[in-house]
Amino acid sequence: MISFVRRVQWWLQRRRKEDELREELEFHRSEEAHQRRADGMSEDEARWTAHRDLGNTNILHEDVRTLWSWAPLDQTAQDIRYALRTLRKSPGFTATAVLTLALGIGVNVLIFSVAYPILTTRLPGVDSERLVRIYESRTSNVFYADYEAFRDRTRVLEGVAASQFEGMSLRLDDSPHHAIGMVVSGNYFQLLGIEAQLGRALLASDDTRGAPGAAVLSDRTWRNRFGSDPGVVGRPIILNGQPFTIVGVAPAEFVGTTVPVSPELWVAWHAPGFAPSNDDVLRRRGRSAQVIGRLKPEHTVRDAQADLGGIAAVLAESYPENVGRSVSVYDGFLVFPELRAQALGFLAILLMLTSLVLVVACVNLAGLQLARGAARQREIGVRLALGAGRGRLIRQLVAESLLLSVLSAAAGIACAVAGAQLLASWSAVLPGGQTLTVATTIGWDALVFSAALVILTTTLVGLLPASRASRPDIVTAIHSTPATGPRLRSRTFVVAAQLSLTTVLLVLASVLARSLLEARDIDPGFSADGVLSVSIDVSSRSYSREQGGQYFQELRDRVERLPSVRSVSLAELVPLTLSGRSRLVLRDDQAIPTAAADRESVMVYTNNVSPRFFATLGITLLAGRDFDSHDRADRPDVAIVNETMARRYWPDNNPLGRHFRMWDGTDAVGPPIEVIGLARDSKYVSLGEDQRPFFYRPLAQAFAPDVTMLMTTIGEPLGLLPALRSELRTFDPDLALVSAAPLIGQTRISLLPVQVAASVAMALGLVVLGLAAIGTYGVTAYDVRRRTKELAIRVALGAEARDVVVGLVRDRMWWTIAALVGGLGVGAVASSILSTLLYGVSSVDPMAFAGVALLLCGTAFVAAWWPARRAAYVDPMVALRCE
Amino acid sequence: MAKILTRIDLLRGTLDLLILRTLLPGPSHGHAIAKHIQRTSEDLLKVETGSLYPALYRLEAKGWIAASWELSDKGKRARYYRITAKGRKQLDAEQSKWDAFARAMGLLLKPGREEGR
Repeated sequence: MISFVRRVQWWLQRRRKEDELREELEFHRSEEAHQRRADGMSEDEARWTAHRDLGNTNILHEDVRTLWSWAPLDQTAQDIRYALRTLRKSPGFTATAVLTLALGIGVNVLIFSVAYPILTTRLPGVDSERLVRIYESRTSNVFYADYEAFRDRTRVLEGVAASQFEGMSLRLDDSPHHAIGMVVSGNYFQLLGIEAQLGRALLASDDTRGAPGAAVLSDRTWRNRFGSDPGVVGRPIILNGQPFTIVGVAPAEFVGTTVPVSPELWVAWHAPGFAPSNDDVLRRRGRSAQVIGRLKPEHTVRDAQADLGGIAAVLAESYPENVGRSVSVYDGFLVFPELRAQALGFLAILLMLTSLVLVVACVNLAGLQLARGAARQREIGVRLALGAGRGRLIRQLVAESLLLSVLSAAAGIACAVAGAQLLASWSAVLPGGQTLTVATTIGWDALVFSAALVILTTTLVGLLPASRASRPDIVTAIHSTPATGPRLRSRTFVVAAQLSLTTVLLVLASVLARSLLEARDIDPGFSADGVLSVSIDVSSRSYSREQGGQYFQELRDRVERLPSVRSVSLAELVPLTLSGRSRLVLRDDQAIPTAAADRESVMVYTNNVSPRFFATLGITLLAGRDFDSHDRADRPDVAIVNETMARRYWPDNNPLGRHFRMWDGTDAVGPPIEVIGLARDSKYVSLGEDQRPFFYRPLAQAFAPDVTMLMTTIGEPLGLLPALRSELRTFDPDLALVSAAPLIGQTRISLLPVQVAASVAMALGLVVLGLAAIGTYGVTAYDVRRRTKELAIRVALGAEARDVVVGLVRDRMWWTIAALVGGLGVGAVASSILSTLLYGVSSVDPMAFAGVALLLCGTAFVAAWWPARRAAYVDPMVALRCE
Repeated sequence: MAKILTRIDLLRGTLDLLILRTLLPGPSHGHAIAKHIQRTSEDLLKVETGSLYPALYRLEAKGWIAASWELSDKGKRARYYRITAKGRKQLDAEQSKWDAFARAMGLLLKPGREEGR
């Protein structure tokens, strides 16, 4: 038995082996001739008899050849070579086919590469299949006392750890930085199985009251803030004013358990300055944490759910505040379950759309293949008549499709990589100071996925046309000419459907794009030009209302003294960053509403601001006064309302001097709040919102520890930063800036969803437009081919070339208009669904619709006219003769 | 008269056996193997090239002989075959099979004492 290895070896060397055999036989012949000469024959006779002695070398070669030839491989190699030649002969078809499939495949691979990690990546660490997430009342925030109960009483989990984000002020060499850190329970790193790359991770011993402060840095922080200093272990730092020691650096690939935000450093739950109070009430109702656990080897998520559910039930019996708190255990994926669900939902829709694009591309291509198959009837008929097996013929045609698909997959992956680069270069800065990016790597799973796609497309694209093409009646086939090919009505239909789909996508894109343009013109009611926005957070200091108010007052005074600052103010919420808070508000003499429906009518949005807020943002105060230093915590509560609120609550009277109260929704109503000012309406949450009632409260009376400083500057806003930083450092060395950016950038965030939707729709729309154009071209070209003879006769009989072209194009355009009308209808419906994202643009915006109609008709016209043109300039004599 | 054995007459197995036996003393090229078989069988067996070379390549594929290009005694390049360890084992096996076969044939063809005649 010939070993497989040798078989492959010899097959690879087959050409060389043929030459060697020939040489060997030649040697044999010359030896034989020599011998006969030696025996006494003449030179000629010796040569001749030696030659005859060899026998039939052809049969010999064939016999030996079976040892190194391998029929299936040989045939496949032959098929591929032939396919390559065929594809090279029609470069136009090949180029369009590859482009079509590449777009379809590329777009799918890209979305898949984004979706797959979200779907499959689990929590980091060792043996991550046994890690789970524990949720309470359907949120990731588990009350600390409940976490302790789960930790101590579980019988199914071998460990439970807690973690929570904390904004911290990190003082390094006397300059404060704001750091996003994480407090974790002592067993956090052990539970996950993460070992430090330098020094050590946190231990249970760090998580006891009174233990010295220990911090573990993230790899990124170590590189960026500490310059990858190898001696960083043991360095002292100040966190929130307390002394800590760096005990280790986490490994580079560890990004924490709360993706997409990753902490810069970790400290223990009971570290100095962070330890939760012993107050039991606070722990039951106050502090919460994200909780993860590790299953014991023999248990499952379901067991954990039952176990913790039981503990929760026992807690509910002992403590009233635990009543109604449910517990859920989820598989330990890296992305939070609710984020995962949302992301997957969004990506599923995208994937459906891109699959649609791929199907469209395949159908297009199948149509093209069918047309080509029809045109090659003659060639195939002849081959069948000469004895080609049908299976062999199908294999060869499928090889063509396979080659196309492989080429397209390669091109598609290139497209996907380019797309990933494009995506990665896009980023948005979130209000919390974090940068949101979509970083995708096209990895091995993408390659596997695209291999699957290739096989799928081959089957769709190749088999059907191939089997149809190889089944003709041979006699008819041999006599066939392009004119006798089928009309392929169905293909025209399909192209028209593609045109409709294009129309819908382009309508959506252009309506959204117009909306974006309009949004720029919407008056937000305040001016963000030249305003610098700086976020700070003093939550860790646990100021009381009085302390906090005092602190902010001093802060503002200091900053106002800076030369390039025109005015400074503080606000809890920044307008137009998609953040808003609403309260239930009752007029002083208004009764508590009984019907649930009436709640809506007393819901009013609000913000807490410092004095000079209105001046800083250029919001006109129509009456009354701004907040000032007299509006302190110990004075009567005051508020400033906007026009809409004034109209709603005091329709016929002056609101100044009136009172209102805040209602908590049950039966408690707060103290009276006096209206001291009336502000002009503006936009608060997003640019597209309707006018809403709004009131402002002074920060001194409604203290919030994390606020944004808004400053109007003389000159470029960011230019103020260095001076601001040094001033703040002398004022308060532990105050770190969370983020600093011109306000104008932040207010654009509310436009983000529209931007994304518009871009996606536009990209997909253009892709499908390209496909539809290719389809139109193909259909027209095929038509022309089919009717060459007829058209040539027409021209010969005196028709104007132009009339012929016009006739062809007009046929195509009727279909296009029908598709357009259908598409516009569906598009109008689709865009009305999106109306929440539209600013001041109707969902049947005439300009958008007109633009799309123009683009579509124009493209279809060019795609039809190009091949039609060729028809008219065919020499009738040539056309009539050629078959 | 030399009996010219074509591939139809000569069983494949026996040709293989002959080739292996010829190569036992040392390597040779194809022509030398054919000549050796012819001479040693006193011209009774003459192997046709049409059966020799396929057999040689087959044996090489099975790993019983190995081939390499060397310079012949006349200075020309020739493909020399030599027996391998596997081939030696195969030769032993085939030889004993042939011996058993020849003995069996001999016993059957020779008139037995019981049969008389």
